[in-house]
Amino acid sequence: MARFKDPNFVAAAFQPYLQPGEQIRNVAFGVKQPSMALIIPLFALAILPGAIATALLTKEYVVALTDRRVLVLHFKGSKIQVQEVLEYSLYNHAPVESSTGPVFTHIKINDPARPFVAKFHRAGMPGNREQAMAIAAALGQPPYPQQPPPHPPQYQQQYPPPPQQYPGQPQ
Amino acid sequence: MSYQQPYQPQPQPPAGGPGAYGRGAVVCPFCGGASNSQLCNWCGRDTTAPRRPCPRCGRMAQTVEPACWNCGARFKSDMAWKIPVIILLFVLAIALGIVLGLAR
Repeated sequence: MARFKDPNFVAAAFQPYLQPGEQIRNVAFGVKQPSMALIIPLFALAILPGAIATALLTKEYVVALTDRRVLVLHFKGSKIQVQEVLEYSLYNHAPVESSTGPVFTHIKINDPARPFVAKFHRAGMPGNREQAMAIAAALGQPPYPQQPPPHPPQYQQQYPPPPQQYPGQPQ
Repeated sequence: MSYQQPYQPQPQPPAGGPGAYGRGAVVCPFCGGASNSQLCNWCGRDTTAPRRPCPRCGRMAQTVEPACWNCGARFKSDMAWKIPVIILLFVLAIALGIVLGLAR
């Protein structure tokens, strides 16, 4: 049932996409299945082709929570052949909806430019449920305050104060 | 006459190691240049944009771009072969059902 047996193998897949000094905190495996409005007619038409079609249309993701962002890898195959990389900053991200049930943890990021929705089965990977809940909790918190840009003080533009009186203005 | 290579930025890592980039500094996933803002100082791309690796050269390209900016390889969607396979499966299943129904 488990898609991956070793979480360290999944965490290693994120190494090429980490920024210098970035640390991974949690890793989880999730899937996005097609809509039930499509699955039910496919299964009603033919069971075996419907199951194959559902499997072909299911997208697989591994999600990593780091100390500064959430990285999402859309992949295929057992060797985690990356198809697409999405990232969401913890300092400034779109509203997130998350829920946890007895089997699945759902995470939905309502970003208009890069929406993400996936569900994480508790048996998808060892500790997948706890990892997914930790990622959902980190995304569920309000975004951290934006840090000021690290410009040195000498490059910050200083405007002179407006003159109180124009030259030549009668006293 | 000698051919002059086009200018390509070759960002050097900071002398103090990866931590010397400081908070807020990121490495552009497309060109590798260091930047202090969301837009890369070197190539101008959004460093947080959805991206995918080129299957030919391995460089990252934005998902919205139809071809690799480095080698020019065009990206193909997986749906290009999945949809015909799904349709073929259903056609075969329906045809098999009709044949089995006529054989009775």
